[in-house]
Amino acid sequence: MYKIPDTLDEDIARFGLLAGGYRDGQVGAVQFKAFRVPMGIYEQRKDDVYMIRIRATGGVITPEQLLRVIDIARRHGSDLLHITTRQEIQIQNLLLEEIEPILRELKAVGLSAKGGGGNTVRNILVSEGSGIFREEVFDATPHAMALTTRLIAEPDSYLLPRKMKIAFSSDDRQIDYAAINDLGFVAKIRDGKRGFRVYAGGGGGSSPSVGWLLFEFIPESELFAVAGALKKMFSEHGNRKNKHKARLRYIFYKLGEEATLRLIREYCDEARKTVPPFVPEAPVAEALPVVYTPPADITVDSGYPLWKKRYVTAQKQDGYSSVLAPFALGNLPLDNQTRMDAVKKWLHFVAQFGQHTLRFTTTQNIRLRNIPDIALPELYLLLKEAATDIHVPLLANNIVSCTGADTCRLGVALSKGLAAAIRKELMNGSLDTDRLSDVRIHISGCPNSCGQQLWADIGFAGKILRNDRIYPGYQVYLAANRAETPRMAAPVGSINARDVPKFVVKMLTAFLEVQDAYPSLTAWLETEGKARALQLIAEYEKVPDFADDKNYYFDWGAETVFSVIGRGAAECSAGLFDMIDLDLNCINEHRKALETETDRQEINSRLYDVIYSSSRMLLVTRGAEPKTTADAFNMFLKSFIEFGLVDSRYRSIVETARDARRTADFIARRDEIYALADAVTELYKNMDDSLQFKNGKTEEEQKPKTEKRFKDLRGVLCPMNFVQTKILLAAMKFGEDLEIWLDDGQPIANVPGSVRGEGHEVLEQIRTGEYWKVVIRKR
Amino acid sequence: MAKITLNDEAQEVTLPLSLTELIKANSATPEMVSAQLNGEFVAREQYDAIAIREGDEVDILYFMGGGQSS
Amino acid sequence: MMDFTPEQIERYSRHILLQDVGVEGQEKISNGKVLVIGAGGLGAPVLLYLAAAGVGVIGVIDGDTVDLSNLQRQVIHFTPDVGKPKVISAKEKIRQINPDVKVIAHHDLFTSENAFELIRDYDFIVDGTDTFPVKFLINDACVIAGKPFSHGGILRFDGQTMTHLPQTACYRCVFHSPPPPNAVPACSQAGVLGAIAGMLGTIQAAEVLKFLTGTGELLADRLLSFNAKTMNFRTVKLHKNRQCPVCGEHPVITELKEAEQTACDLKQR
Repeated sequence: MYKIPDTLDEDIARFGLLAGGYRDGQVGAVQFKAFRVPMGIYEQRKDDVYMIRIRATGGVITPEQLLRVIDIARRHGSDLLHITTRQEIQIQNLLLEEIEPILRELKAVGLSAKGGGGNTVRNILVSEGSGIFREEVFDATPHAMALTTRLIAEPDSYLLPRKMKIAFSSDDRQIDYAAINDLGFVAKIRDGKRGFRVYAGGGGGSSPSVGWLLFEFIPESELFAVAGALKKMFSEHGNRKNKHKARLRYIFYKLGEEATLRLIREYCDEARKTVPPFVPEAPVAEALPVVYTPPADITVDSGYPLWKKRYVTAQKQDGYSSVLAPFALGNLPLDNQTRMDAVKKWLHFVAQFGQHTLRFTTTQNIRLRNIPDIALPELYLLLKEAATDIHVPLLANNIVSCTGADTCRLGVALSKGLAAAIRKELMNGSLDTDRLSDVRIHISGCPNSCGQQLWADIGFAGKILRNDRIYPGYQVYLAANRAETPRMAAPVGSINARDVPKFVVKMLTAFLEVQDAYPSLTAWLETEGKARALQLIAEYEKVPDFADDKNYYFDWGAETVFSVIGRGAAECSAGLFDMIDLDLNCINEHRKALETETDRQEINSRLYDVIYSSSRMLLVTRGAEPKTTADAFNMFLKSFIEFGLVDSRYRSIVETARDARRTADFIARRDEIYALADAVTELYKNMDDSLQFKNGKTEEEQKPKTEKRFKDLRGVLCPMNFVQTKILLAAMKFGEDLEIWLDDGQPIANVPGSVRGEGHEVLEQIRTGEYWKVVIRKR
Repeated sequence: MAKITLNDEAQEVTLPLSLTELIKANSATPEMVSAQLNGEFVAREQYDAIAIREGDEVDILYFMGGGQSS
Repeated sequence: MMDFTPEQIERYSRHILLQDVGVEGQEKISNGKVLVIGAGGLGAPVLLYLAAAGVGVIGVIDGDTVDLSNLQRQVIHFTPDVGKPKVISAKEKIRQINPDVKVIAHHDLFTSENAFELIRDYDFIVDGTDTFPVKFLINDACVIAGKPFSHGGILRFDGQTMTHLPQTACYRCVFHSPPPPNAVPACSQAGVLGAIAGMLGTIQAAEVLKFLTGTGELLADRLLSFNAKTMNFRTVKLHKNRQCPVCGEHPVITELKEAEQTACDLKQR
C-alpha cells in the first residue's frame, strides 16, 4: 500500500474548518471548492450532495479496508459505492457534515482521498493482471506504490497547472492506459534488467492524443527521477491561465514534438543528478500457500462451468486463479441489507487468502486474485448469493460508462442509462457474446473523456442533436488500438441515443459473421466494419417527429423530455482564477458602491475592503494562503512590494490597513487606494501562462495575446449565435482571440458584421466545407 | 409688447406684467405651479414682485400627483 | 462574471444583443435592487418591466387593496384580484413573469418612521405614489440618504418625471413644498387616461434600467413632461436650487417629518 502523507491530519482539520465556515456562510463557495476538490471531494450534480473519491493505487485495496469502507459509508448515510475507471472507489450521496469524520475514519485504515480531484497527481493505474498474468513482463505494482507514496507527499503535486495522470503497464504487448495518460510506464527487460519504456503527453478529452515516446528504455532505478522531472517540467511550462489547454499534451502542441521531448529530457538529466533511485523492496510472495479445505458437502449447480469459462483466469502461479467479480457500471449499492451481507460474506471469504486479493479494474469491476483453485466452487456460490452479475456474459459487464448527467454537472446525456440499455439489448438477443469477451464498449456523457470513448473498440460521447427540437445523441468512435502501437478511436458520425443499442448489436452481429477472416475486431473496424457503421448511422439519421414518437426525445432512463436547462459550470475547474476573480469582483463592487455612497463610516469601511482585496488577490499565484487578515497584508508586502512587483509607495497604505484596520481614516487617501487596486489589476492582466508577471506593460499591451478560445455555434440560430458570441467575448480579455464556427446563410451573413459593429476585429472568415470558421479578436 | 419664451414657445406679452399675472394669463393658479425665470427657480411668495422683461425665458411647471390610486 | 443559465441567456438575449447593455449590463440588471413605492397606475408598468428585465431584487410597498376602479389603468392587477392587497397581487404577477426575480412585498404605508429602513438596501427608488406629502417624503428621505430615485406624476392627459441623483436637482428644488390641500386635484376627483399611467411608468422603468446599466443620459437635472392630447413632449433643464430646503446651501430639513395625512379632502378611504 501507499503511505499516507504526514500532513493528512492537518489537511482534514483544515477541511473541517472550511466546511463549517462554508455552512455558516463565513467561507465563500469558491474558496471552499478550491480546497475541497484537490482533497478528492466533489459536489455532485445535485446541490449540497457530495462524494469522496478514495485513492487506490493500481486498484489495490485489502479486503479489510473495503469492508471498512462499506461500514463507514453506511454509517454516514451513503447508499452507493462506485468503482471508477481510474481504479478508485467513491462514496457517493453524502451530506457535507459527514465528510470530515469519514476522512478521519478512512485515514485510520490507511486510506486517503487527497489528490482525488483538481490539479493534482491523480490515482496511478496499473494493469489489472500485473503480477499474475502469464503474458506479463514483470509486476509493476510495487513501482506504482512507491511512486504514489513519493508523489503524494510532495506539496507541489497539488499545485499543478492541471491534473496529471500516470499509468503503468506490466505487458508490453498490451500497453493500454500507459499510452493515454500524461505519463505512461511500460514494463521492459533489457540485458536482464528491469526498466520501462516511457510515454508522455497522452490523454483523452479535448484535443486528445496518444502519448509521445519519451524513452525506449529507462532502468527502474530512474523511475523517481523521470516522474519528478516530468512533474517539474509540467509545473513550469504548463498553461496555468486556460484550464482547457493545460494538460501536458498542450505543451507538445505549443512547442512541437521535438522541442518538447528535448525539454523533458533536459529536466530528466537534471533530475538524475539529484533524485534518489528507486530501489525495489524484497518481492512479496503474491500467492501464499494457504491452508484451505473446502466444505465436504459443497455442490455447485450447472451454471458453474460457464461461469468458470467466462470469469476465471489461471494465474502464472500454479494452483491459483484470478476471478472477476462484476459490478454493473461499477455500482455497489448499499441500501439492500441482504445483498450487502452477502457481499461482505465473500469479502471475508477472500480475506483468508491474503491482503493482495483485490483490485479495482478500469472496467469498473473487482478482480480477485490468489484464489486457490480448490476454493473456486465455494467462491462461486458466495458470489452467486450476493447477486453479483455472474450469469451474464463478460462483454455486458465490461461496458464502461462515466457517471453522466445523473451526477456530473458537465454531463449532456445519461450515459449510465445508455449502458444499461445496451446491456439489455445484448442479453435479449441471440448474439454469441462469449465470442466477444474482449470487446470494449465505452460511453461518455459528454465530449470530455471520462468514459474513455477514445480508448474503445466502439465508443460513444454524448452530444445534443436537433431537428425542430433537441434530442439526445452520441458521437460514435471506432477502433482504438490498445496493443503495441497505440492509437485513439476515431469519430465516424453521430447517432441518436435511442438507436445506439440496436446499432451496437448490429455491428457485433456483422463482425461475428466474418470474425474468422480478420485477425482482430480492430482490424475489422478499420475496414469493413467502418463501412457498416457508416451505413447504420445513415439508416438511423432520420428521427421521427416529436408528435409521432416521443421516445427519441427522452434520454435513456430519463423521466422528462431531454433538455439542457440548468447544466452548471464545470466542477473540476475549482482553483486559482476563480479565487482571483472573487477579489477582483469585490474591488469592483466596492468601487461602484463608493460612487454614490455618502455615509462616511461606510465609505471608510469600503475603502479598507478595497485595500484588503487588492492585497489578497494575487497571493494565490505565489502559493501563499493567508490564514488571517494580517497574514494577507504581510504576505502582500513581502511577495509583491518587497519583490518590486508593486510600487513601494503603496507600502504605507497597506501597513496602515494592517495595523489600524477599519479605524484608520482612508477617505483622504481614496485616490491612492484606487491606484493600488489598479496596479494589482494591471499586474494580473499581464500575468503569463506560468503565473509570472511582466513589468513592461506597454510592450505587453501592444502584443496581442496568442491565446485562442473556441465555440462551435453551428446549429444555433440567429440571433442566439450572436448572443452566445457576446457572452464569450464578455469573459475574455482585451486582445484575446475567439474562434467560432457558424452555419452558412443567415449566421455568416449577420454575425461577423454585428461583431464588428461592437468594435471587435474579425481576423479571419473562412469557409470550411458546410460551415464557416470565424476568428475574432476582442477589442 | 415684449417677446418672451414661455415653456419653450415664443409669446408676445404686454408689459408691465408680474409673474403672477403671467401665470394666471396661462390659466393656472400660482399655488399650483412652480416657476423658473431664466433658468432660476423663483420662490412662490415672490411671484407678485417679479416683473417680466423683454427676452425672459419662463418655465411654468405644474404639480402632478396621481399615480398610485388617483 | 456571473454564470447565466442557457434559459437566462435566451430570456435576456434581446438585452445581451444591445451593444450598450450586453452581458455586463444584464449582469448589472440581475444584481440590481429597486424599490417601487406604490403598486398603482405608475407602479404597475414599472414593476412589470423591471420584472421582465430580470432586476434581481424588487421591493414594493403599498398599503392599499385592489379596487374595481383601479383596473382601468393599474395593469398588474386583474379582475379576480379585487379585494387583495396590491403588493400581493403584484408579487404573484411578477413570479409568473420571471421567477428569477426576488420580490420583497411590504403591505404598508411609506412613512417618516419606516422610510430610511425601507430604502436602505436598494440601489434605486421609484416614486409611484399619488399624494404630495408622500412624494415630498420620498424626496427628502432619498436626498438625505443619498439614494437616486425617479419621480413621476400624472394628471388627466399629462405626465411628468425627473430622475434625482445625489448632487443633482431634487423634487424640492423644483417644487419647494406641497401645494395647499385641494389646490391641485390629485385623486379620484380628477380622472386620468389609463394609458398615460403606462406611458409615464414605462419611462420611469427605462430610467431605472439606464441607471442600473450605466447607459445613456438620465433625466437628471431635467424634467420631462408631456401632454397626450397634443403628444407634445418637453424637457425643461433644471439645476440645483440653492434655496432648496433639503439640498440647498442652508438646508432646514435634516430629518423626516410625518407627511400630512390628506392631500385631498375629497378622497374617500
